[in-house]
Amino acid sequence: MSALLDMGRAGRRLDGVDIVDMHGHLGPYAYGQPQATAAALIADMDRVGVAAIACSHMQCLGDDMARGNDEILAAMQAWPGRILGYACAWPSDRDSVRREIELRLGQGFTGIKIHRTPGFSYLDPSYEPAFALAHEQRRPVLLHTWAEDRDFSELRELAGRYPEAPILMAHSGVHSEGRHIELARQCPNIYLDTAMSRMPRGAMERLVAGAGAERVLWGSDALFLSLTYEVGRALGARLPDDVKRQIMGGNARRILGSIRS
Amino acid sequence: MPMELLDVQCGFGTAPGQRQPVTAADLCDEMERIGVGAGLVRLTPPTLHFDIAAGNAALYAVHDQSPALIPCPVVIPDAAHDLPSNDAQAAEAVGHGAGAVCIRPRTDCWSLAPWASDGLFRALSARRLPVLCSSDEVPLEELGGLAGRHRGLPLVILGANYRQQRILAPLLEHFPNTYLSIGSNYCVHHGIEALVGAVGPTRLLFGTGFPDVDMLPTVTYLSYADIPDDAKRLIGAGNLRRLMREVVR
Repeated sequence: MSALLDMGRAGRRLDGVDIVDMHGHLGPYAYGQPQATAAALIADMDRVGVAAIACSHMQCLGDDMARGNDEILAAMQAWPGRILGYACAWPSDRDSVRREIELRLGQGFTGIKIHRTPGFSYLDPSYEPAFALAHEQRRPVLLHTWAEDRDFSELRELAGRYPEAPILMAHSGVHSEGRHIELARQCPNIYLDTAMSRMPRGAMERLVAGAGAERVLWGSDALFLSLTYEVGRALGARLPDDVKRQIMGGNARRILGSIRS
Repeated sequence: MPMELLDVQCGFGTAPGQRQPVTAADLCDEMERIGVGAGLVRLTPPTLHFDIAAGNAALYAVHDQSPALIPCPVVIPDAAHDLPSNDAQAAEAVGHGAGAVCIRPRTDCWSLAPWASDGLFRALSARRLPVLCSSDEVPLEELGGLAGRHRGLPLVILGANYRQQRILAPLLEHFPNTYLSIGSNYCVHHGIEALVGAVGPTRLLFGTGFPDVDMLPTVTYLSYADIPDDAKRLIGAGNLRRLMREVVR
């Protein structure tokens, strides 16, 4: 029996559960999500009972990251403590990345998001100031991955170079679960993010069993995907409720609580 | 009283790379754990299940043991005269208590062109047997053509991708005989709300995608949707129950 499963089954608000979603987005994407607004996302969070969501703008996959950061900032100010910000920067060069990330962290952003779509390796020298700041301030860095060879090799390298930076490996378990688990075991600052449209059945349980509950982070990818859909993966997992609480919020709170400003 | 759930998108079977099959008992266990009362079941994935006579017989046998597992057999047009007639296939399905049938033109190597398949669809229309069409077997554009040619035949889209919202919405709006499973991989932010707003609550069907994916995500997608409770009940089970009631038996 799982009280959390039963609450999700009934569509009851998860009062008493501290849920922090570490993988969110604001803004529209190519396929046209209905109601792609921060207000709609907050409404979903209120119905489910999600306390906070860390968001980058969909422009982290686009060409106008500064505008995306501006829109994230506006949402952070409109919903303080509910919308947390991941800052993004186009990797023109080291100085421009440093300026943009320093600006945004100074404005109250929580962490950094980097995607593959700009077309650069995560080891590109332009990104080094971003990782260095994350290391100095223990800020989470969410990296888009899809279980490619370069994902595992680059993240292993980054985790070693910047051991104080929590590195969140997005979409862990899309396939090659064993490689995700192995990487998490080798690198204590790597966390496995479970946001995914089509996670294989039982993958959440296998990631927890292999990497340890303290290294798995539930995320929704909303509003790129549906928060109300993704929350079911954690609530329905064959795991004790205290483990579900840990991966849905406890681990995130620990990461957020370790940030040095 | 928990909302009744009837899963339009579930099954069991053996997948490549899987050492042990997912059995009907596994499906029943998960349905009980999650609170899904019944399911329209197929052998899935289709890759290794190409002998449809044996596969359909297995579904009927499972249904005899577990009535909550409602068979959804595969049908193929008898265009090459190697199979029972189209009418006979429809009659066999109905005779065994099928709630719908499933088509897999890609797996079973046939064409949706009218000259190659309309005989089958006429036979299914005569019995108002819902036809489950997985989007990787039936492209949505072809499904629209089929829906336009056979307007009395309920067509259920399974496995729609979240990136297809701009195709799904006009498809559902244009063809009132089309229905969408909200199961994997339709996990669109506010997708249920948008489609209920566009076509009403009677055209969406609860489905999960088991055994490929976990069941509860689609349950919470529905249970937390910002739509009235009576709309949730229709999507959860009422719409599919009505479609199955309307089958000419």
